[in-house]
Amino acid sequence: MTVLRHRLTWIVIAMVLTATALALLLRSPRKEGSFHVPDAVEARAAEAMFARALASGDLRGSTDFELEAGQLELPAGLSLAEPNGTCTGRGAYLFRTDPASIPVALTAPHRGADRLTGELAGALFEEHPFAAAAWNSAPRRGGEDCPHSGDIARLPTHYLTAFSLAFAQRHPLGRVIQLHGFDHARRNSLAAAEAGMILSDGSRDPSERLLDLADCLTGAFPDTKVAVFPIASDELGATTNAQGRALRAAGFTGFSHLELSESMRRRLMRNAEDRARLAACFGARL
Amino acid sequence: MSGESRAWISLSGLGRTLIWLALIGLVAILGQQAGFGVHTLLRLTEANGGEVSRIARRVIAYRLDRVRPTVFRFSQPVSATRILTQPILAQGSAVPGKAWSYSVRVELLDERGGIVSVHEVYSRSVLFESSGKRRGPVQYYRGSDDQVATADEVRIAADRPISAIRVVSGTVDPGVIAIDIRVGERRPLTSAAADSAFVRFNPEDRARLAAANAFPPELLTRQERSAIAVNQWRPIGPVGIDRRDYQMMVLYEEEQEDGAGGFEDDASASGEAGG
Repeated sequence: MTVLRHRLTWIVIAMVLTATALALLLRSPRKEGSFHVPDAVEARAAEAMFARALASGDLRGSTDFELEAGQLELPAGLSLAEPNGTCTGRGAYLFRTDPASIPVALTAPHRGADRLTGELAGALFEEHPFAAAAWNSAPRRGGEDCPHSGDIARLPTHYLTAFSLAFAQRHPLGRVIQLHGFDHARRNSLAAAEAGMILSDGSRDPSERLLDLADCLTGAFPDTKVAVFPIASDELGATTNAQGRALRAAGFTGFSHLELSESMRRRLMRNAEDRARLAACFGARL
Repeated sequence: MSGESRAWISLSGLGRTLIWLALIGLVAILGQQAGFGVHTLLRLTEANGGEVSRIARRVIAYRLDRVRPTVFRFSQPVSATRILTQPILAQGSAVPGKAWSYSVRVELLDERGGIVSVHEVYSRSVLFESSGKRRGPVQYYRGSDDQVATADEVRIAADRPISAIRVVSGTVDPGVIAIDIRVGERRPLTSAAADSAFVRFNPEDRARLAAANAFPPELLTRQERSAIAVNQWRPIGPVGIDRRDYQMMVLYEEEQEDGAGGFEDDASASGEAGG
């Protein structure tokens, strides 16, 4: 009996190890979202298309990716979005080709799920001459309005990653800013729960450029706690963010992942002066 | 060998293989369905495998002026305040064993702006001991070569409730180019709210805050928990607009080799004005 139990223990351990390996192998990134996810070849082609759009406003070839020009109303500049009503998760992209534009890409990959982040990116892009903006076109979680869903911030070959890489190539000293929203009640630490903003560049060793932004925001919003991952907050560090990882791998140091508390998002949407302060920090030291 | 183990061994090789495959398949499917997420763990490890920041904290400090007072207003009338001051030394002026004396003038104000009391606070700060050993953590302002001496703390109690304090820098030794200040107030918590606040801290924060007690956080009484929560200092900022009424700075502090905390060790996590 003892021999059998001993043997069974080893069998169970072996099964768990084997199952772990199988689970790892069987779970592909495509499981992150049920919408269209380009493969590596398509992603590289999309990056080239975005690079042309950023450089000269040339949107030719965008239809190869089922992205159509002019879908979005834009006071100045160009837009690319999937055809109305398709909701296949390809995202929406705005460009300003004016050389005087500020080399900042504002992105909101969780528009909808992270309330007001899409509206905030839109308002900032409209009020300030940032070079580009982008957000998700399908929800992070499925709903009645759209049959597809997924988290584009976790997809290394998504168009948003291609867009971010093309932007970094075009503006190597610029910033790619991802706007996110967090719920303070769901935070594990007091520091994160009390923060109004949590900044990260996706690494545990924040770059000087991120600290520049953090210091600017600290001065611009003296009544708000501006935390930097992992210095004050060990949460929401975006260490698995697909765009952040791709940009770091490409040698780009301007990726900034900005988590905003709900009260901060509401405040920014209410107050144009606060948005101007935020925008000034985004564009500072570029 | 028992009869049961002989029964196991008597299974055919094919039978054993089939049982193995069935069990492995079952566990694999369960692992996937439950979101086992080993790939996520691996990605985390990868992402965290690089350099780790040596920055322990960022705090907001305010540079005092010799003439224009900097006014700090409390969130509600208080009976005491905590002030941390640090002399800023010109590059290269800090030598082993040297100390710098400096003073600040603090006026405690009541709700109507009337002066409750005036305090000339004299301090003496050291950066390197005679042996050359640095005293306290390395602190610095990014982009500046000025040296930040160790912080001095003073707690001032008032005879009656005060609503604000007004501070100017006073006399300083040669080599001191500025004095920076941080002002704190106790967390405005009732006893019941204080206990709730302590319970809401995460386990790490609770352990850190209760470190001075003989017992771990879970064995503290309600009164002890409340006392810990209430006894946290919270930073307050000055009145007015940056660079017109005050000058804000972001002070960085590096991790110490021995892992000891810096001067803020009695401040809560929220005692750090920034991250």
